[in-house]
Amino acid sequence: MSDTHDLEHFKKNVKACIVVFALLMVLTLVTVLISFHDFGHPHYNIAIALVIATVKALMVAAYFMHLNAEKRTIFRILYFTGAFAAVLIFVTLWCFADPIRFIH
Amino acid sequence: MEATVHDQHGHATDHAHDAHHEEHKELSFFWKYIFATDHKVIGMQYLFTGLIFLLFGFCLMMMMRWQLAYPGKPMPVVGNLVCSALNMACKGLGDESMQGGVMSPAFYNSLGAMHGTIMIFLGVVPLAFGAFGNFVVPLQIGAVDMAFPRINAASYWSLFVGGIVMFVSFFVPGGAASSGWTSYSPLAGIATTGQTLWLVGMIFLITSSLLGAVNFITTIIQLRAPGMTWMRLPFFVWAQFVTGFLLLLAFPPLEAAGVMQLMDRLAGTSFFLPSGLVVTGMPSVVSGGGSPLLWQHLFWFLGHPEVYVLILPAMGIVCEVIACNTRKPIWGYRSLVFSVLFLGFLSFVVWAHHMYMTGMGQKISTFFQTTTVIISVPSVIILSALFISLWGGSIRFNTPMLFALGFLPMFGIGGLTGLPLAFNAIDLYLHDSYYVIAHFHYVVAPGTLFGLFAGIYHWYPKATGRMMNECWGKVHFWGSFVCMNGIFMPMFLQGMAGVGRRWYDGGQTYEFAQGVIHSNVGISMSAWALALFQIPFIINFFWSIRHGKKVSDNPWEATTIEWAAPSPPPHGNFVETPEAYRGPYEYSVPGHPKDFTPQSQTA
Amino acid sequence: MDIPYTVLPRKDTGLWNAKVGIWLFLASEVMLFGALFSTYILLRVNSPETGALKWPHHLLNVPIGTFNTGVLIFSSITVILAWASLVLKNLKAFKWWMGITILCGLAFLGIKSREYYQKFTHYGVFLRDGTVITGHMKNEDVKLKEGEVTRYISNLQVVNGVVNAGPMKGSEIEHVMIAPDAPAGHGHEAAEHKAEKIEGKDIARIASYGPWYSPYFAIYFTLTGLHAIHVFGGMVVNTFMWGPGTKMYFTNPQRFTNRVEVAGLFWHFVDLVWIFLFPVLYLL
Repeated sequence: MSDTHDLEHFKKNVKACIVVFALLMVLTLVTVLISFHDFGHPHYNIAIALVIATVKALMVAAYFMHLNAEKRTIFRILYFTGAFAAVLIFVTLWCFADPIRFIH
Repeated sequence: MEATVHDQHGHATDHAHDAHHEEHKELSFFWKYIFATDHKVIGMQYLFTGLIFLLFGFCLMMMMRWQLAYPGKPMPVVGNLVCSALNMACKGLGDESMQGGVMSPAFYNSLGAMHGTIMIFLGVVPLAFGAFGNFVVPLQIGAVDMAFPRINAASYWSLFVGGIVMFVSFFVPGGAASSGWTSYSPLAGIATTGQTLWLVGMIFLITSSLLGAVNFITTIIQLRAPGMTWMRLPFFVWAQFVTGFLLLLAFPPLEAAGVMQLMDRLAGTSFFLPSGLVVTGMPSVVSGGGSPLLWQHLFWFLGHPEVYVLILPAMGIVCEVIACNTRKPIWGYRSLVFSVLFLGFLSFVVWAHHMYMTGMGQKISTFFQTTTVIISVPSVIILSALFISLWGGSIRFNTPMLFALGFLPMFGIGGLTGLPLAFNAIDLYLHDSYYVIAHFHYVVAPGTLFGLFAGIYHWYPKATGRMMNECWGKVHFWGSFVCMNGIFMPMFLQGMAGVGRRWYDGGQTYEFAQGVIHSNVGISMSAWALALFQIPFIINFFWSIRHGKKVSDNPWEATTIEWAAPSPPPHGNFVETPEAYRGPYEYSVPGHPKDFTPQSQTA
Repeated sequence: MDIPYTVLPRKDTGLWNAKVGIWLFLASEVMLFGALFSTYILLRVNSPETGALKWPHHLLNVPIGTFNTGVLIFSSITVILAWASLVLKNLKAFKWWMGITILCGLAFLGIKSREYYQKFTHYGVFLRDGTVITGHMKNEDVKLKEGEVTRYISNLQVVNGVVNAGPMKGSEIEHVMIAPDAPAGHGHEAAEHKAEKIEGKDIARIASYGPWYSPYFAIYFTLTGLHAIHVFGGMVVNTFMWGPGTKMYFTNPQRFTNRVEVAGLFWHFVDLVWIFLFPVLYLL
């Protein structure tokens, strides 16, 4: 952050963070409000709320945790983590969704 | 790094000029050896802790072997000692467990559960990852220390607390955990207090491994010496790197599962307790609605990568020892590296092959059978590359090399006997039998442990400046080699005949087991003989610290960078910052004056 | 001896050590919460359509939860401003923003423990025919006879049985008095009013809304409890940075800024976890 160009850039990023903060607040309210609305089936409510939560999480990761300007090494670690977390959640659920026949 | 001068006792008299520099005063004994932050001292702490627990876990097993060989007979001497010791610690506990030296079924169960837990989490992991990783990795990459020395110390002390908790659990009412090292719910959910301590201990051990893993990976990414590119890393470092990732990403799910089982036991939740649970004829008061299978999934999500946590560092050690003692480059360095990465990746998607008995459907079991068979490919590549490396070498048969050579066929047997278990149809028959016991012990006992012994003999001169005695080393090797096979080979036959792994009487009451149970006596004899053959090692280890033959900094004439440091390496490791100019295994390079060219040598 | 790259980044990776370290640690945290979320999904998918173990909807106090979410997100922006002040060499502003961050954490935990308390005083009586009667307990004990304590609940009265924090069997209770439509805070009158009596043999189980109540409450308390421990841990680190840790600013400002950045990364992660926890536990 030594030269002025970097500093300007940095200040701009902090301003972006404040905008993101406002958006996060709005999205939180939106999530709360639509949770009282009936979209026809609870599954739709769940899907919509999770999509919004994911968007919020990505915004936090990208701006607050400044992953939008992070180095390759970090991303590599996170790719693997994401992949294994997905394996943990979905393959486990798959196991429960596929029981042996004639027993249950 | 600043140059440091050291006197004979290794006290750092550091002439660093940095103002905010903590090392320039002489450290007291307490800070130097107890709450040390130097990676070598912490490595030694791990080494001694690991070896002590290894011996302790082995003692548990030797007691069980008495019960299996002579079911229901009072154990001579030891039986009464254990009985009175337990009575002293907790009134009546000894009479419950070992009255008159006869082992009770409950005590047998807790010995079995604790043997597994202690050997894996307090014996092999601290040795393979903690001790060798800490001592060797920073030296091999040419670093001054680990990236986070204080977190390193925290990691060791967390392990220490975990070990104490595990040890104390033997002396609480009801005895230690007795639901198997896998702690399957709901059995573990309704077990005695020992299980609670087991869970608390595990949370400490897991925390230790997580802190260690963060530290190792950061160190390998950040602190490699100039010129030490990724493809110039010794294979041992690669193995530790992958091991670090396995611990980092596979342990947290078990930590979550441990917290949930703890909640089940202490807060009355029903994470792993199903609806309608009946305990000793009484309907349970819990809410129910949980899933016992979920525990198994979360446990084995760690459990399988853990297998590779145990084996990969040993493979790394064996690779170093073989390269050095065949005096030729390792065959297929790049394929070794990619194999170990692939192995690490795949080890996350094979866990449910431990659970074929739980009633999985065809699709999911096909998936896990396929991944399990695929994971054998990189293992075979690694083993083949190590075997091929022997071809045409001028092999030096010293003690570390003998252990490394012993590792190859032993790991081969362990690995190949695992293939049948990968298939659902065969596994249904062999599941929970002595065949499984024999299979994974071949991998871990004569496999990993031989690798670790090779490492101890190999790096001993680096850590102390002296050699261990060769003759006693060979006695140690050959005795252990024969006894290990005497223990585990007959177990394959027992298992194929259908003898179950957790049977208290070794199969006396089962008619179909009658043809194979006579070998129980032979197995037990081998186990006790194996203990006798560790005595030369223990004496040799301590005797050589003061009386071993003094040697130079590089007695094996090895190429990797740790041998460029003084022996023993001072605080800060190297006299001047080393630089890597070549790959790790440049032995017998044509046109070079000597048969080894160190990584740090310019030309 | 100095460990390199504690302050300035290493050339080939572009990172300093603690940055790598914290991201590795967060990776392991992702797996930790991943396992718990996977448990959540499984318990929810397995929960019955009807009965006591039915997955509840909007059971928790949504306005309080929303407010707490706001507090946590706000603390995330203040920790960024604290770090930014350090980058801009403004120590005073750093102290302010970091102080606000710590207070936000404190507020979050305070509100959370209030929520916990309300749940612990809310009781459910599970009848053998499958119905559940729920109600709040009043905050006073009334002595009826020598050695026999009865606790009034605003619309629920338990006789001859001490209500533990944990679950208890119906067989341990003689009977339960239910006083419908009791005005809150008037337990005595309610009991005198018109009480319905339920025999102990008809009761399967009686429990407060603690983790033992149902799988939903089990995962609710475990997830939020672990999250609260993380909030507390983050607060400890932040308080260190705000207090005694600040002296590093005068000897090595760049390294101190790095430290605050790393502490901030952890704090954002805690926020990020809550962003998922809030909808799955409060709203869905």
